Amino acid sequence: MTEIFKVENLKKKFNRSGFQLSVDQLSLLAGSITGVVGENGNGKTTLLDIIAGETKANGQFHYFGIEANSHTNWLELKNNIGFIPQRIPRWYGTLEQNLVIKAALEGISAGNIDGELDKLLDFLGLQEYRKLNWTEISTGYRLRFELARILIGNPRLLVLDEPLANLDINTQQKFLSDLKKLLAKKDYPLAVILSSQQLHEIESVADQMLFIKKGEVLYNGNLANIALDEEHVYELQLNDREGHDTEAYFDSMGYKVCIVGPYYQITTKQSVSIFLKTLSDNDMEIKYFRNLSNSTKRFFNN
Amino acid sequence: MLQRFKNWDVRISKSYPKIWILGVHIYLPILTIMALTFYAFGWAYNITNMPPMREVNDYGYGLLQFAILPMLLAGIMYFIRQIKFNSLRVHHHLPYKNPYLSFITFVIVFFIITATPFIAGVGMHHKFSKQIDERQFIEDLSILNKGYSHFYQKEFTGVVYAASVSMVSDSDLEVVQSPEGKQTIVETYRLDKATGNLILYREIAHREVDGNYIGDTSLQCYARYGWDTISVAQAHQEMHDFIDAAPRYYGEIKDKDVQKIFMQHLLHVAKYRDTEDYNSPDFNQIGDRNRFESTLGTYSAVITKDDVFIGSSLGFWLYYIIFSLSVSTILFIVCSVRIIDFGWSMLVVALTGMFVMIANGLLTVFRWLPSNTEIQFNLILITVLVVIFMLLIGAKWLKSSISKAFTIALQLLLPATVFAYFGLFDNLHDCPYRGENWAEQCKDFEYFTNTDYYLMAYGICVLASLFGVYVFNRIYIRQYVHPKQQ
Repeated sequence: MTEIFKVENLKKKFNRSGFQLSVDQLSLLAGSITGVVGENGNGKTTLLDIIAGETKANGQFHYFGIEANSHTNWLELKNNIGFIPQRIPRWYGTLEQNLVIKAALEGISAGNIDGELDKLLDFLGLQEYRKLNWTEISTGYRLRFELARILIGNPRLLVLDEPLANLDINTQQKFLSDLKKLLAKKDYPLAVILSSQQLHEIESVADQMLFIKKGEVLYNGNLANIALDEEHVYELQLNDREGHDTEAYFDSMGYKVCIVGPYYQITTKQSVSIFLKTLSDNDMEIKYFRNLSNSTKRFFNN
Repeated sequence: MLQRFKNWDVRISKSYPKIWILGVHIYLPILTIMALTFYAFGWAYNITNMPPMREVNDYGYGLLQFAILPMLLAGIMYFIRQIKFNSLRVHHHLPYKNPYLSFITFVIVFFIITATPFIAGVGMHHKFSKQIDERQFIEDLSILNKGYSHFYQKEFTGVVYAASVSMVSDSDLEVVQSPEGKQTIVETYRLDKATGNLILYREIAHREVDGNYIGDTSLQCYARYGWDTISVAQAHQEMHDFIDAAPRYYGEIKDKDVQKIFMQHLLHVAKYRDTEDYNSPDFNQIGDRNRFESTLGTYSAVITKDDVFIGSSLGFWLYYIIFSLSVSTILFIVCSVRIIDFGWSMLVVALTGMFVMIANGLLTVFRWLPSNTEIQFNLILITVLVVIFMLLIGAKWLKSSISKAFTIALQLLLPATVFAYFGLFDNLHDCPYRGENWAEQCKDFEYFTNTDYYLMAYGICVLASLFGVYVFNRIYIRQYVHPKQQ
């Protein structure tokens, strides 16, 4: 697959706070979605700002196969990068008007603009809102209109900073499935990198995950490789069991237990089916269960 | 109608997006209609009976004041539209990729906006020009100038105290000293009995054209007061000529007997010349002298494109364009940078001006430098400031918002800096010699003191503004588009 973006030995230090971001190697491939996760203030936004060309950092950067250096024409280069920051700048005029102008500036002929916009707005489910103004639509639709505007320019690299923040669960899933469909639909190489706190949603679509902690990349790879040896990690919540010490029970079963908020995080060598059967045999009613064995969430508690 | 306009607007946005963003398709027609409306208002002024200049000015300046509100409205609305659709904070941003398209469009739009108040005067001028026979007026002017002093002489004595003697002696007037130490200036009209000539103090050219060439510049007809000596026969001829020409300008003469008027004038002067009475009556033989003078005023204002007609003068626009250039430069900067950085740059501009003034004030108060070195000091000061600005713009150790503020401030101050250099160099070459041989002694000093020098300085300032667009656009791209050092 074509390599859309690559960076080696990325180093970015903030002198006043002393925070340093360090990425040995990161490569974004065409047709792939890369999720960036980590706790707040650990460098996700900084990394995306650097990739989008907003913030300067040390390292060897390659965009679309060409090395970026002091002679790079960033005005041209950024034409191929679609960046949606956390706070999307307001649009003026009707949404359609903005999209028409963008399409015309991108060189789409006047006769084809309506057709192209129809296809795009149908794809993103925005058709009925096109005549509205920015203030008349919800945050979720603003995000999708911003995505529509960026997609008109046919960017080859999409950088989305916390796109799922402020979206309801249905809108989150719709947005992510749009992204997935988009990658399948585009007939030119396109890579997507996005950050989010919604691990489960991101991991459901991402081909590659990047976990950052205190500026260091703790994991960089696909989800299948996250599982360590034969150890599994499960997260669960049980219905109240009066008179029973659940934690003691888990200890007695030889599970490693960690309490994360209202959840138990269990580390065991048992497979999902055996683990669930064991719980069932002991009359434990499961309220919530999730297999974290292949999820970056397991790194959050380390 | 509204729907048709919307459809047309959409068509423009699809076919010519840059035109749409710059708002030319809306603003140019509106501004043109606005300008034509004011032109029509000017043209509509009734001049069947050539109105006096006072009334012409009332009407013209009334329209000018009326045009200020639409001018401000149009300017502010255009500014807002550009910030909404063509600035760094929104998506459709032209200045980086099309700096000159944006800048020149701004200049054109703001030129029309700022010109609108003067357009009514242009309409009035065109109408007056059609009504006025300029060639006839120029021919009549010399007749009227010469003849006027035979038909009208104003209150012609005045009292000047001894302290002002030097001023009076310069004016080449006849001075009579009274025993009380008062001096009386006498403007006179008398017959030299020895030669039979008439000696009179008069304006060589009519005062309404003071300081201006009339029509054909080769005539070089300046207003000038002075003594004149002519024969009585010549005086009679001048009076006959005046009686023929003056009615064309509402200058009807009550009694056309020239010999009688001549004698009456001499008797009038003889009666009042030695008096110290301030309120001696005017000698006047012109029916409606005020009407006559004001009509001449109107004619000369039309021909010299003065007063409310100034909009018809090319020279006026040559300098007036500086307004549209300045506003365009500000809008171009506002569109190219973050508003917060522009705000900081305003602070830098204000502080720089204050610094220069304080430095000059301290220099004057404490006399730290030898006298006559203020110009050299200011030249050095401005040069040092420019160098400091450039160092701060390029400084990597400096917080980026500070270096951005200095960049914007330098672009704003660039034309003024260039003009200041020209002005200071001019002052530096002022000739130190004064006195009778001034012209000879100063011929090697005053290379810069002429209109062409300042026209050249002005032209270079305009070029500096245009060059600034190119240079600073590249700097802004580096500061705002390239990855930023956070």
